[in-house]
Amino acid sequence: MRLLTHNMLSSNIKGVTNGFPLGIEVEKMEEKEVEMNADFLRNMFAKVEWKALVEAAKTLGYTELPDNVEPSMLDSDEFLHRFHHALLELHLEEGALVCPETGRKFPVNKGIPNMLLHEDEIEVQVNLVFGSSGLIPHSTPKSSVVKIALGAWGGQGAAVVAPATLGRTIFMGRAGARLGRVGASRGGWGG
Amino acid sequence: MWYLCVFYHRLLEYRKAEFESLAGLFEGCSGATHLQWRLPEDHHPDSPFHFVNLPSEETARFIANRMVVIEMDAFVGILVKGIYEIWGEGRSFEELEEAVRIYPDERKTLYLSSGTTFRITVECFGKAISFPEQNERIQKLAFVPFQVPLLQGRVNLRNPDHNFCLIDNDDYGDKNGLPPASQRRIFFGREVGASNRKILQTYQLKSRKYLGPTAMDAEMAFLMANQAQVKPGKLVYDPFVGTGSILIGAAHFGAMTMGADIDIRVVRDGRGPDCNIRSNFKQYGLPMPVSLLRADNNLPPWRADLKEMFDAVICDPPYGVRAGGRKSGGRKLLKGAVDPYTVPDDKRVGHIPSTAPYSLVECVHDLLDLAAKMLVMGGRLVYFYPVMRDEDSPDPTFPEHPCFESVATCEQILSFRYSRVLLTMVKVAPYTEEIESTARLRHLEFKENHLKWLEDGNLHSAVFSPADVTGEKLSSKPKYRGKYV
Repeated sequence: MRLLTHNMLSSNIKGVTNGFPLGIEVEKMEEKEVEMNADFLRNMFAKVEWKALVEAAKTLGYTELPDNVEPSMLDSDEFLHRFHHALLELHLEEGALVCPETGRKFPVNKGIPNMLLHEDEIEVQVNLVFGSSGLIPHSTPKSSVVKIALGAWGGQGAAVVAPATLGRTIFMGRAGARLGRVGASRGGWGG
Repeated sequence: MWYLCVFYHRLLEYRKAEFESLAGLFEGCSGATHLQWRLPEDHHPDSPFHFVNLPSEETARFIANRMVVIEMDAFVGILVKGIYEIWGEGRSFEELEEAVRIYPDERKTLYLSSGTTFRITVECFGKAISFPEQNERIQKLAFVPFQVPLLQGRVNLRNPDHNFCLIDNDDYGDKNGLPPASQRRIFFGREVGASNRKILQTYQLKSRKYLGPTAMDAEMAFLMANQAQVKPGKLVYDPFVGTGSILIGAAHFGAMTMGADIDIRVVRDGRGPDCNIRSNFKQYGLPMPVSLLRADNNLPPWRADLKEMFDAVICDPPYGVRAGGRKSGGRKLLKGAVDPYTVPDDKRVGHIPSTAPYSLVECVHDLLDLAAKMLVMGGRLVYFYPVMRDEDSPDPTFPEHPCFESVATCEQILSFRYSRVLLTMVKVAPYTEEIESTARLRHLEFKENHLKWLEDGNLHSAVFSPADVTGEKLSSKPKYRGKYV
């Protein structure tokens, strides 16, 4: 994993508000020479979080990046080479990326960071249910559960307005829903 | 100026799209440049011969130069056989002779001056011509450019300065499955640029070390890269990288590549130290991907303020026919039937989280959303989308997004039942919160209409369900095969 990747990644565990930058635990690192492309570097310069890059490079033992930068420095060959070295030539082969809030470690093996979340770290499911009274037990026949398409794909806390004419209790939860399939009331609250 | 573009007779819908994408790449404007096209007289729309109007003589020369001078096989379309400045055309050699005579002398003498070398190639679409016959035809040409007194060039078959080409199509009617041609047409012209399909041999899948069940065919991977207007220094992302077959195409054209996959065995381990994604790149001497990681397209791990990072997103999303998609969370968990499994502290290291099926609708939504956010303005999203080939179903509609404008939709028939369509979209509007919510709504509409085919497994069962036994027998008479080529 190069530091460019590190600069793009954050911890997306549920509840974590600022998962960037990830800490780096080094077990094994490598330097691999890569051909330099100045246009690419200039392009990336605008998108990179500089402070995080400097810190990450230091963790890997490279301290020659300046703390403060401005776009005019891109004209300097020496700066470009340092930037290039830090961004693309330092590889974390074995180690871990550490979530700054929870301390959860995302392992890095053979240079591949594993960013997949565990079951209890993902935002769970559809939370909007129509029912006649209270929470619907899981055993309720499906027919009594009104299926609606949830407008909450990928969004967090999206407000869903239900038709009031139904005259039913609306349960609304954090809409961390991924699929607009309403089948149960897990995680629902409200009244 | 009009040029004759001769295509390969395959992937019919992809040909002009690829040409236009490449033209746009040279113009330096990634906006949909639609070129002017014209069919030769008597030709079927699927014919390999097309006249194309390239904006100016300079542009044409520029493209041609790039193609010839910089050994950029990269810059020639995969499906373009050659581009020719036509000196004359006609139904017979007499008509051809007349046409060539009329063609302005100043255009001809440019390429016939003394000290230059030339070659004449004879080609025919739909028929192989024997060498004696080729010679005979070249003899017939004796009248043509060679009446110009200035012609003192010498023949050089290996490496000529100018390559002249005599091309015609056989008047085969509707035989042999080619587009029906009612009239023979002969073209004579100077080659401006020719393609190099040798790279396809170099990259063919059968000699690649690490393959998966859905590794992308090399020709298609190059086509996708061309559609995405990949060029050196651009950053290309594939969220379903698998064995890296699509990124290899992009890397060949000089792009920096980046890939993610939810299956860690594929991205990290492959089949051993000499048989994995990296070994594939090494095999062709391509630079390693800038980044490979294991991530879930459904829950992308990018930092929140990261946007406009990639120049192109190219992928073949899992559509559940040969390989199904997966996303984080167990099936029961996502249905809400069970509480999330809390991983005991002592087992957190090396825990393998469960995954659930990832339907195509959801996958494409996530893809569009990711691309809308992460592509630079004018960046391109290129991906495959499956379509059922039901005769009575209306024309398929494709996913839309307010940030994107569709540039090309090219169908490739995969079986009697279904085909896949290569969608090329260009980002025309910045990604705003408002757009994010509009996209969500539009997407739901789309989803309701397509639920039938695109939900879990349906596409799979539709493709693999037993055939209708009462269906009429295939006739043995060869007929026009159309898009089956």
